[in-house]
Amino acid sequence: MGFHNISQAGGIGLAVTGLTIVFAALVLVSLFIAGLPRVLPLINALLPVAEGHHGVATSLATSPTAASVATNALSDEVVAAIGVVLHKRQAE
Amino acid sequence: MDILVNFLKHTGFAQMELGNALMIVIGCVFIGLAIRKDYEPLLLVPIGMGVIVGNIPYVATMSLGVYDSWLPIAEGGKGSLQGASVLSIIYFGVKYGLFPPLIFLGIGAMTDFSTMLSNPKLVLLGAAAQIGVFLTLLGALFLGFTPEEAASIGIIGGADGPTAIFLSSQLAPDLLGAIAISAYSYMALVPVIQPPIMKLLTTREERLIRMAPPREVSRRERMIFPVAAFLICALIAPGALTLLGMLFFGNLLKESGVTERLAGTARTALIDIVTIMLGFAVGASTQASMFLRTDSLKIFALGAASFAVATAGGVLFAKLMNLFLTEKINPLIGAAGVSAVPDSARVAQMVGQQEDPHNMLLMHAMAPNVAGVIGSAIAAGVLWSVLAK
Repeated sequence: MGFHNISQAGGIGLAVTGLTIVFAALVLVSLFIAGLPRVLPLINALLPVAEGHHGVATSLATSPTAASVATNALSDEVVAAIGVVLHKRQAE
Repeated sequence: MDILVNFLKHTGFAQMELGNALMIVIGCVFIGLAIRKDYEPLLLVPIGMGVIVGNIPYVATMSLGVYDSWLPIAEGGKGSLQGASVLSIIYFGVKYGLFPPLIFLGIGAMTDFSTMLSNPKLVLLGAAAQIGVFLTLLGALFLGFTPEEAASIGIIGGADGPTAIFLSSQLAPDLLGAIAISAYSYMALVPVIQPPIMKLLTTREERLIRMAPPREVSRRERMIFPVAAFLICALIAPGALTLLGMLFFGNLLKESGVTERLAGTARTALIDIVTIMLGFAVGASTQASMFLRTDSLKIFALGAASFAVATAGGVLFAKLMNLFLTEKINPLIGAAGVSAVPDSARVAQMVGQQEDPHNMLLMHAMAPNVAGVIGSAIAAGVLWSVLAK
């Protein structure tokens, strides 16, 4: 037990180097994330929004939550329309 | 009569030693903590039951324990597992680092990186918390552990059970049981360990800081991120390739939108099966003769210190960042850089709400939390690369 164990194993160098590499990697990831929104318009121009399987535009540039909200809204409209038709038939 | 006497000699009661009994009590405590206190029940119940199973004494000639050595032997074209026990076959996944990457696959498939993508500076908090890993490494060296053992003990500070198991299986297999139990125990105790440190290092004004809601992240960003981040991290630290490859692969399955079924399996059935196997095997590896040693006590002490240092590192780095930022960060979320997902993020939310019940820190804390997962995997990769023989 003692500090000589640390120096003998090159512990300080290992710890400093290791922490520096972790920081460097995560700083690069952070810079990439920060730069991504600036590059996205270019990517979107090169690879435009794809059509979905059922002809519904699945915009990759917008949040999927927005897409699902739109789909939900559409379903609600259809349900409302069916409801109105059923109500009218019953009234007749 | 001789048969009966002989049988009685071989019962667990007759062979029970004090160490076994103590470990069985510890196993029961784990199960009790999981059930009564709700501390990481998905981990502590399998580990606790594994501890009990692993400490039932048996006749040495019977293949029943995790440490029974076996090799797949081909006899006349047919394979056989000579000397294998069920526990040793399950333990294979721990010993050779098979389970941790599969756990990472599941974690990737359930992780949403959106908050991190919306506020990239919070990634640095995940890096800062890794100071716990490297200071614990120095502490372990000080106490006389070899560099390989010290690195495996240090990674407990990453607060990531699978990463700790992965690295110790590669560098210090003899300490695997103690390191795994220590890592998972302290992960379960995150709500107990972190709050006092967070409160000690922050003022009330700092804890009251409200952060702007994160921006909306496009699906395309979330699809590009796992591939790009993997390339960056794995090219810098190839030792982290397996863990990060599986983490980002799982995330790509989730975000691609075309493999939802695979992502669903990875984040539910697969991760559950692997968690059961991993927890049980790790628990069963704590046979008293292997576990009750002075080294284990040292590992537990270092583990506690590493969690405390990692928490302090994250909080203090957030305070340091605030010196340069116009839009301040609530330093409590620095503690979430300790990558116990999502417990440390929940703790940040809980401590923040004790000061201001309407301050929602959880989504912000998830950013350093997932960055911490990446950071601890990189740390493990670096240590493995440097110390592998």
